Amino acid sequence: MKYICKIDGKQKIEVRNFNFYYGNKLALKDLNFCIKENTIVALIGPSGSGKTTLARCFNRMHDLYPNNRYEGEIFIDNTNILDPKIDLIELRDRVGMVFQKPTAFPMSIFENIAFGLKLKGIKNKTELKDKVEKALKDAALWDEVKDRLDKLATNLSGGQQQRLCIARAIAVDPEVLVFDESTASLDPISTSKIEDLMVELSKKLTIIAVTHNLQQAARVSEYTLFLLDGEAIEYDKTNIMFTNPKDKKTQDYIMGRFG
Amino acid sequence: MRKRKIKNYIGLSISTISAFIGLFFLLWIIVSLIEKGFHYVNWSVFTQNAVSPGEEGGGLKFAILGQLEVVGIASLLGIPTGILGGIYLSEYGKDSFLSNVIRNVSDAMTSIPSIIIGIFVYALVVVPMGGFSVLAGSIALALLMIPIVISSIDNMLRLVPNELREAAYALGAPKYIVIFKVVAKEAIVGIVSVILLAISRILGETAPLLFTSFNSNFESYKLNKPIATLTVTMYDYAMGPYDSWHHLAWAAAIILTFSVLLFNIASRLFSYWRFRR
Amino acid sequence: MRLLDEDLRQLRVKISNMAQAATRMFVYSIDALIRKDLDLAQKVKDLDDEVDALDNDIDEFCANLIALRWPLAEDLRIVLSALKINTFLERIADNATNIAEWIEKIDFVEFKVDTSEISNMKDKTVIMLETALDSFFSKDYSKAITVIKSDDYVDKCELSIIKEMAQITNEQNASILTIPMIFIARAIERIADEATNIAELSLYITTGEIFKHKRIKDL
Repeated sequence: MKYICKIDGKQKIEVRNFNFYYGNKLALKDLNFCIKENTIVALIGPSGSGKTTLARCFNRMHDLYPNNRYEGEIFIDNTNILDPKIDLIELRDRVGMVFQKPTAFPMSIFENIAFGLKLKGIKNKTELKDKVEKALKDAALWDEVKDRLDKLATNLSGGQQQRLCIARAIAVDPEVLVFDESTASLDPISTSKIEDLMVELSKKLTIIAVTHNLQQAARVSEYTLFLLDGEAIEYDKTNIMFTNPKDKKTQDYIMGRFG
Repeated sequence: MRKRKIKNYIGLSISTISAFIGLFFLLWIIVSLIEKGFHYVNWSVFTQNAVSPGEEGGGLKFAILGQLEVVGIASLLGIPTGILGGIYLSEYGKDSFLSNVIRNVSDAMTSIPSIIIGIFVYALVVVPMGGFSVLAGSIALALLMIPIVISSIDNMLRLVPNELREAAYALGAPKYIVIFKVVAKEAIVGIVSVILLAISRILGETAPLLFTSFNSNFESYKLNKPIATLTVTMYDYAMGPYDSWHHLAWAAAIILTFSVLLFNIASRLFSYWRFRR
Repeated sequence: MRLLDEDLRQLRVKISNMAQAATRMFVYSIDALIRKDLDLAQKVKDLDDEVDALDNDIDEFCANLIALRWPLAEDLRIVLSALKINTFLERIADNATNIAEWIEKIDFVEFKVDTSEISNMKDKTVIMLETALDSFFSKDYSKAITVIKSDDYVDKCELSIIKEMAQITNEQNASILTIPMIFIARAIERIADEATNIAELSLYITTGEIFKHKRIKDL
């Protein structure tokens, strides 16, 4: 896709000449686009189009498994995060991720949120308490759990657990947060709460949201990227994508003609 | 429709009958044990040492303590090794060729007759050391334990969903934290069960001890000296000529059986408690 | 086949029916004038109820479509355009009704005006209307442009008729006879405008751009 960076604001992330290989298989081809700061970008596309693959590049989750290869550059601010010299732990501090299934650790609610903080070396009890409280408040979960912070987190409902995971991710003050189909397994009310959360959080951080739910992309995102077979077909403001997409493949997908 | 019902009924009946047959024999053994040996279990069994052959009285104190020492040291040797081995397989080796080889060998080793392990340790430890010893006994039991522990731990850890690991990595956790603070915690129920079951497995072993820690009439707990163990003593006394020995053997049998039962129940209770929480 | 495709097919049928009814009303109204047929004029007025009913039906149908099917991209533009074309067709019907009412005010005994101009104006407008509807249903860009460009001609016809009527009024003092003619001409011109609106909608559906206030030279 030709390089386009027509966003109306400060740039946070830039993807340049990016290819990704699973072993010998080219999974993402020639991606070139940029993401505005403090906004939500939705990644849409049919199954297997590469949206999750792309999302997991931003915090280099692919490094956990052998035989994966990145080509090209991904800049967050002005640092190329694909540089082998990059400290992954530091990167994952700046770029957080919320997964499809809620993944509460088998420890208390407090311990869950404090997990990332302790990794950063924060030991002071007061500081931990304050940050945990703030994170839970920002994740709209504080009121529901403030009286049982020492109880096991896995006893929370699915929607609560997912908000816990969000609180856990934002406790370390990331700049970018990636949601990988995070509401796919939740009921409509929990989904709605989390969508509201995403919009609120996007005032302070940049959010990339993978979703197969077009209505969700329409509800929360400012920009949308449509992927098909690992290629970026169209990238534009969401309202334009959904009322008058330029590419026929985008139009067919959005109108439900396939995928 | 009727045919299905009949088949169902037959199948159910056969299963139930088989279960009862199994249970029946188990209960028979336990009841016989209790019947035969209960009145021989008294305080002196636990507090007195063995007396000269032929004399009345005597106890199993030394044998019991010896058993505890050998099993204890074996656990200290075998359990950490097994756990670390299991962690290696599940978290580091994963699906590599080497890991799968280890898994297969380990699985095979769980079925090796324990007497062979005994002979193996005899050749490798007892002979060079010049004599039977607690150490040799513990090593033999540890070698029995390790394959079981490795296998079970490997399987337990592999059951932990990968998303949990990824979530920890995504927060910037280094590998050892992911393993010990997240994965292990998630599998803790299984891990503790495995430990308890492994101990209960070696608690009843006799054959390997025959070749390694042998037996001893002198109360000594030194690592490089032979020691009396409950299982070997029971074997000894049961085969001996004296009635007092036979009584003690029955008592030993009861103590052993119920110890093993206890460990099994403890393991189950633990998982039940943890699960409820 | 998506569920939506069946719904859109039904929508098209409904709009087509309403369009036919409105067009018929218009054609009858001018025919009534030319043939001096008051019964036909009445018939035009009666048809208005039918058109109103179709109008309401389409509005309701579109509301359901939006609520239940969440149309996007071109589908969305089609549904939004359906709601608008509703209004345009309804206004065409109203104008036809007005024409019928003005016809009743003409004294045909006294009236000897040449109706060839107005007949020509009507023909051209009918063509505009039919072409506009055609471009709407077949999403034909060039036909839409043709319609938009024809609007000027109809405006000129209206002007010409007004001048003619003014002249007759002066010469023959026949204001009672000529004023209705002027209003009828005006009504036809409005119908032509609605046809232009419909053509603009067709452009919106195909290109996604709104043409409402654009001028011909910007096309």
